[in-house]
Order: sequence, then C-alpha cells, then structure tokens
Amino acid sequence: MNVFARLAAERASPAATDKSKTPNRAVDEARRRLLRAAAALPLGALPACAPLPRASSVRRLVVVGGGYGGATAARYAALWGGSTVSVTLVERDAAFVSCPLSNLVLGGSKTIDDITLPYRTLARHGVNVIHDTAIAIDVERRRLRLARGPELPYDRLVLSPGIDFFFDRVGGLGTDDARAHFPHAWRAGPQTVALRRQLEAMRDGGVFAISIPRAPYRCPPGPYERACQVAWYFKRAKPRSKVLILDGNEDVQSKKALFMRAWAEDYAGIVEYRKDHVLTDVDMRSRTARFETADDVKADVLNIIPPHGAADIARNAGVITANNQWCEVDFLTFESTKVPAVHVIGDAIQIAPLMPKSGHMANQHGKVVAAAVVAAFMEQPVNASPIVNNTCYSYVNDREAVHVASVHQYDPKQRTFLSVPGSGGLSVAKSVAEGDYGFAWARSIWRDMLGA
Amino acid sequence: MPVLFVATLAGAAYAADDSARDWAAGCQSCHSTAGTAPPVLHGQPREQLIAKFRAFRDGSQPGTVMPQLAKGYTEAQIEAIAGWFATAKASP
Repeated sequence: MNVFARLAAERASPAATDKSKTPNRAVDEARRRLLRAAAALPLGALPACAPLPRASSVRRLVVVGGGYGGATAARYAALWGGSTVSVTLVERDAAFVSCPLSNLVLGGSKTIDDITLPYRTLARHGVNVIHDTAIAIDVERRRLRLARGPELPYDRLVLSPGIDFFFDRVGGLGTDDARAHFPHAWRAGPQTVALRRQLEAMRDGGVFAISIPRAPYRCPPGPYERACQVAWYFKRAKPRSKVLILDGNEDVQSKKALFMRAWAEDYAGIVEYRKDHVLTDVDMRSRTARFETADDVKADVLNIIPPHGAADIARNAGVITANNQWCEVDFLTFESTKVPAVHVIGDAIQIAPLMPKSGHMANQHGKVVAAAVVAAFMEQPVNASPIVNNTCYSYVNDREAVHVASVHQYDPKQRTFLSVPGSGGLSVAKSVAEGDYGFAWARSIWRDMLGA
Repeated sequence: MPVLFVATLAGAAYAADDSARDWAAGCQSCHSTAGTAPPVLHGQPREQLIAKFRAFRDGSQPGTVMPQLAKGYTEAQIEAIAGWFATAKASP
C-alpha cells in the first residue's frame, strides 16, 4: 500500500476520525489568561470591562487548508483560545505532504513517505479536522459550503488556501491529458511521484527542462533547487543527460550566487540557465515548449510550473484583490481588506516588500492570525507589533544546503511588514552542516504545526 | 470616573506577556521541542538566552542563520522573548 492509500485507510479508522475535543493545556492557558486579566484589575472595574466570554456562545473559527499556514493557525488558535474558541480545520487531503524537501524526492534521496505526515495529531491539540473540500463561502451568512458535509457556520474564517494554476494561460495545457502529461509538482504529493517516475523512465542523454513563471510565484528558490536535485540524480544515474532552466524572469530570483556556483562547479556540463523564457505554448506530442521571444525548446521531461495565484476558493470568497491574482490583507490581523471576518494567510496573499511565499512564512502568518483572531473573540486589542521571520534551506545535492533568512517587523506608518535593515542574509557557501540544520528545521516545524 | 479610566487602559493596550508569547511563537518554527539541533529554548535561564542572543548579534558567537536573524530584533524584544521561554515548560 502506498503512503496515500495507507493514510486514507487511517483516516477512515475510528481512531483517526475521533473529533472529540480533549481537555488540554490550551484550555488551562486560556483560563489562566482570563484570571490574569481579572487579577490585574480592581474588583470594581471587573463588571465594566471583563473580557470573559459569554458562556453560552463559544466563538467558531473555521480554517480552510491544512498546509504550513492553516494547520499552524488552527493549532495556535486552539492553544491560545482554549475553551472560548472552537477550531475546525477543513482539509481536502488525507495527509500533509510537505512542499519543502519535496525536490529531494525528485532527486531520489528522499521518498514521499519521508515528507508525509498524518493530521490525526491535531485532534490531541483541540483542533477538529474535517477532510472535505471547501467549495464556496457565503460571506453574508458566514457559512462555508463543503463538497460532501453540511455547511459550517463561522464567526471568523481563516483561508490558507494555497495556490491554483492558470492553466489557460499556457496554450496546450487545457486538457486533462496534457495536465497528466506535464505534472507541475508544485503542490507536493501524487504530482511529485509522477514527475519522479518520468525522470526514472527518461533515457540517459535526455533533457529535463523546467519552466518558471513570472514572479511572484510560490517558493522563489524552489525551481533552482529542483534543477540541482535533478542534476544530482542525472550525475549519478544518467550522466549524459542535461537540465535546462527556462526562467520566465530576467534573472535568478533567489540565492543567485549560491545556485550559480553549484551549477558551475558541481553540475558543469549538466545544468544550463536561460533567462527571459516566458512560456506561451506546449505541445504534448513533440514535447516542445514555445516562448514569447526565445526559441522553441524540446525536452524529454518537460516540467512546467504554470502561472498561479491564490486558490479558487479565495476567488469565490471575493478576497482576490491584487492583479486578479493575490489577496490583500491588513497585516496586523491578516483580515481581508475586502471581506470582513475572512482572514487570508500563506502563499495566497499579496506579500509585503521582500516577504517570500514560503512554508516557513505561512507558518509565521498562522501565528499572527491566530493571536489576532483570539484577541478579536475576547474583544481585546490585537498585537500592535507583530514580527515574522523566514528561514529557508535549499539543497544543492542530497546532503548540502544553503539558506536565506530574514526578519520582518510591522511598520505602523506604512501598515505593512518591513524587512529590518542589516538583518537577514544568505549562506557563505553550501555545507553539510546546513543540510543537517535544514532537516532539523523540517522536523521542528512539522511538530510546531501538526503537534506531531 | 475611576472605573472608566481603568477600562480604557485595559482596552487600549495589548498585554505585554501576550506580545512576548506571540514573538516567542515565531522562534518555535525552528525551536520546537522536536530535537536538539536547533536547541530547545523552553525552560532555559533568561539571562543565558539573552547573552546567547546578544553574542549572535555582535558576532562573538559564530553561526549560520542566527547571527542574521538576531539583528532583526530590538533589545526589548529579546528580553521579552527570553523571559517567555525561561518560564515556558514545553512546546505548545
């Protein structure tokens, strides 16, 4: 049984579908918090401003999407909200599959099982997980419509929907056949496995080409890491093969010097980088990619990352406000600038300056939104000084990695997050030590978001 | 109107310990209780955490990510975060 079948079976078992909220530390935390708030006030003041919730009405938070952003938001809202908040997470898939590290599955040094985790651990932390597909949001009645289950009423909704692809912007990608033929693998899972199989089936001496959409896109260094991973695989298994990077941008978008060095020193004669390759059409039969200005490219394995934006559920909710592609938010609360009580986090948002669309950043959004939602439910002010940070490791082979890091503080004047001058930076060079830190990062953040 | 005055104060500011809690949550993406590298911060002495962080910031403690991240936080934020971790029992 492969990992997806196994996890689907687990989901169907009674243990995995136990939705009872277990008493936990979150409840104690919320009680302590309320007691602290009460203790800080003179007795006479208590009736006038007590933040105690109405006993009869627990506030309902519904989170859509159990990725790095949504799972984190759900978990921390349950932790910080305690008994005052009921948290329901709606997730389409049976299991969490990490996009970070998924390029190593393409390279062959990790398996899909290595990056797949169950959702059942979240139940222990007071999160009710429903495996269903969110299909529409009634923002007037504050209800979420599901594909299978009954409507879910909410007091606040957190959308962490990830991305959907604009397949119609690339000629030839319109059919199901074509999409099956060209797995993007830009959402980890079956797509990753399918692309790996294509690489394994490819002849030695063949060409793997990866097409990168115009920025901003999900995971800025991801395509370049993928090129390294495929090159690492080719170098060992199919040494006469080539990796072509066809970038829709005018330059490498992240960790440029570090990637260029890997391509020149570790993968000389294998990796070739070509800028200004904005994809217009693909032909399935001849495996040819066509571009706005550059010459056609034929490849044995053609990996197209189509242009993409906030997922369709965000479009349905009317929260896509920027360039018909991303969702603008109030960065203090991540509430949509358009629709009240709907918050948007993760890759789907219109980012602040220098803020990457990364899993780590989505996890950071999840904590800010959890604090803001709980504060709103308790009728308290929100944190006026949120901070988010980013740490991102890219693997240039099976063991060595490079990083980029940054810190972003909220600026009340500009009402956005600004990267702190003088902070952040890149690796000096690739190293095994940073490869080990990257794996430790994954274990840690998976535990942070899923409570594993 | 002392009652109103207190009510206004209570309503105007986000609790300091909640700010520390939120900022510390940002560290726990990497510093959860999942492993030993990076180290677990929960329950570590406050002064020790502050000293370590300052050392990353001024360069006396070498590192990879932390010297770069340390420069993004103010002294007051560091003290608040260290104070939160010192009294925290475990990862949430």
